[in-house]
Amino acid sequence: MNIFVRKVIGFLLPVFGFIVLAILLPATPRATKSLLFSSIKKDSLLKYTKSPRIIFVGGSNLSFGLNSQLIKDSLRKNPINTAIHASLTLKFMLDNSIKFVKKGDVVVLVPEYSHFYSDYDRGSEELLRIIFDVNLSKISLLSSKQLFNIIPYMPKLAITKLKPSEYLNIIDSKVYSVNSFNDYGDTFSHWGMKRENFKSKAVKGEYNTVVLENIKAYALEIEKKGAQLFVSFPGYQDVSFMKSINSIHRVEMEYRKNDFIVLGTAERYKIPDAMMFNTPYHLNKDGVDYRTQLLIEDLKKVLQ
Amino acid sequence: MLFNSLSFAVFLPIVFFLYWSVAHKELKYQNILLLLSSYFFYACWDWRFLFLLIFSTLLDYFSGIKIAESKNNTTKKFWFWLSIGINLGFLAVFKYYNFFIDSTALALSKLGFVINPWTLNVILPVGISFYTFHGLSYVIDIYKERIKAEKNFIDYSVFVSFFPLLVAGPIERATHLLPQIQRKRIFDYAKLVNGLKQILWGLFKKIVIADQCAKYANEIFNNSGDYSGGSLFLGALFFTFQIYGDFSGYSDIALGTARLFGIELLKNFSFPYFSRNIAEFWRRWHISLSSWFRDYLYIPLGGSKGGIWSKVRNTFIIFLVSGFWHGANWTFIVWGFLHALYIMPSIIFNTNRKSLDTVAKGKLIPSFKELLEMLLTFNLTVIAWIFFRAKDIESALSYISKIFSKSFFTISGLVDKGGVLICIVFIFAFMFIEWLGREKEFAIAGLDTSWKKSYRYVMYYSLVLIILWFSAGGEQQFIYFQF
Repeated sequence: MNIFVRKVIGFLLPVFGFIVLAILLPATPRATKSLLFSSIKKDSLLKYTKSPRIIFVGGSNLSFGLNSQLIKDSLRKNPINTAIHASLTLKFMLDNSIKFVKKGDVVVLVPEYSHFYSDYDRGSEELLRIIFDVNLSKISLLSSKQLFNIIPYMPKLAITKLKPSEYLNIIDSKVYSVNSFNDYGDTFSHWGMKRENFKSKAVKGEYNTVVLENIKAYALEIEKKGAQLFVSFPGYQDVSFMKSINSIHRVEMEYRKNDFIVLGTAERYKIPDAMMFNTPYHLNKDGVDYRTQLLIEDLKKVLQ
Repeated sequence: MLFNSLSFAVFLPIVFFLYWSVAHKELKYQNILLLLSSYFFYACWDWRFLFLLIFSTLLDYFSGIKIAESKNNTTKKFWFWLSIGINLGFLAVFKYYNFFIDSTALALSKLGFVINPWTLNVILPVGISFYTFHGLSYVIDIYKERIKAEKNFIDYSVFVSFFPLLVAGPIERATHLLPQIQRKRIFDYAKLVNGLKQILWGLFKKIVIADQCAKYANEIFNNSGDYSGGSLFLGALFFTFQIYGDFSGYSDIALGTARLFGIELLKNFSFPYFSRNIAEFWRRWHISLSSWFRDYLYIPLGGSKGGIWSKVRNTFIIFLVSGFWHGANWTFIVWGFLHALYIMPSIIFNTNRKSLDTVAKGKLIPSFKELLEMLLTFNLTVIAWIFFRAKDIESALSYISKIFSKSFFTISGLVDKGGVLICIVFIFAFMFIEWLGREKEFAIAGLDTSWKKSYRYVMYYSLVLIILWFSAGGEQQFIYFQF
């Protein structure tokens, strides 16, 4: 048995060694251009933007769905759009944003519907990359389950770091780049682009009750800090909305049942297909302005 | 706990280590360890169904003893039918109740009687079809006096619950597995290495072939209206390789894992897509189920005795039952029916025992005739898989009619063309390796003798890296876990 075990370990050791070493290499030039690197700037906005502040927390629906300048002009507050990618997981978004919240801040939390229908603390490639490519210190924000869940993504990241295309002929993505964000953190590089072809998508999976429990805990933390929390709904393509109507209504019902201050209704944020950009959650410029206007109206009602 | 999960990658070495280093002194300890780890493995799916598994095990264990001890026929029959009835009753409730109720309601509504059926909202216990069939074969074999009743409860429980085969087979026989459980297992280095290789190949089939094909098959089947006939055919091909990669990959991992514990399971797949006719396909696809139906249904029904009519009838029965075994949906029944139709010519003309050996044995290239036969058989199975995959018969028929339209010659609607192309390249590479290794137990089993050590290691490391690369998509369920 000893020989067998030794040989198996001997076979696997180079594989694990390679993965660990490659993971610890600095981010590749291509990776540094990715939208995940916008988190550095967004953290800095959270740290240094002066009060009165309004902080938006959510997935790419927010980054592709807000015109913060309009918010600033209408509400006379300094907006910070922290959104990057839904796959970073809601748990990470909440844990990352809470430490920057100050007294008097207004926090608008807009989880995507899919956040309620998947593992709350699942792993993802984006989550792994934001730790190992962007900021290793954020590993402290991950739960043990998240740490376990990001392991399967490590080999891919390690192999990616050896690909020549990561170092040569790097062309900046027109949409998904660190340079796609404006000074408030909104993705704006696609505002002049045409709608892309994409398929509608229904929200799938079983409702996860843990998600709301964690939002409740987040709300308590915010209250302790003397800030205000509002929750709202993502701007979601109308066709996808209709396909997911039961799942969406469940989320809305749970918000109201738990006494959150809810901005608008899910139905109100159902976005016409012509206002979408390249996924059921990403809005084009018309969609961005339309959705921002709705949000401003809803915020005005509660901020008076 | 999926075979392709990180949890299993932690679980397996722990059980392996305890088995060979702590429990190896006594066979009893090894079997207790196997049983406890199997129950733990099963509880990771849903601990509530563990009670059902234990109950089913107890039922068959005691029924077996009672049948064997019965002095008269009436008592013997009572225990036999009690066990059969309860086993099939569980299947009927958990798997088929809603199907029967809905089908009856639909039939009545067509006759003008509208009823509001009472359906059950229950989850199908994972592996129920597999462990129920283990129990059934055991009880039937005792009743027919082919085997003796097992008195050791631990040994019998390991036979039913051994974790590599618990959730999706192979469907074992007491005559094959129980003696291995009762015999001292010896640490055989060569066998264990062989087991690891089979696990590696199974993971490749599942993670690289099946899961990649699944992405495109799911997209095309779920939105079939958006695609041309050519794209739909491509979708059907993707599903054809998905289900093969998925189930034979699972079986390879199961066989390889069992071998790590010194246990040989029944072979479940033998390169079915290289079959020259449907009869050969069924000797190579899900072998443990086909042989189960042959031994416990086809032969008791009279088998091939009694003339053509009886052979035809019995063949249709086993294919329809086999289809129904897969799931409570008419699509599976039609899938079985189609295969029965396909196999009919060879049943009628008595050619079903043709092509018993491996195609183009000892040669690299098959003859033109063999190639045509393989292509025809393969395409017939592709058409049948459409019914297997479709959500209902209407969808399957419209899918097929669109394939056989003018748009068959156009590929349109595909969004991720690059990904599709990569997937096709992998399928070709996979089938090429399968072709080279088709005379072995599994495709890469023969690398020891035919390849230089350095080439072999390049191959193994390449497989490991490709598997690790594709495993980043997350763990995907095995299709046969739902049966």
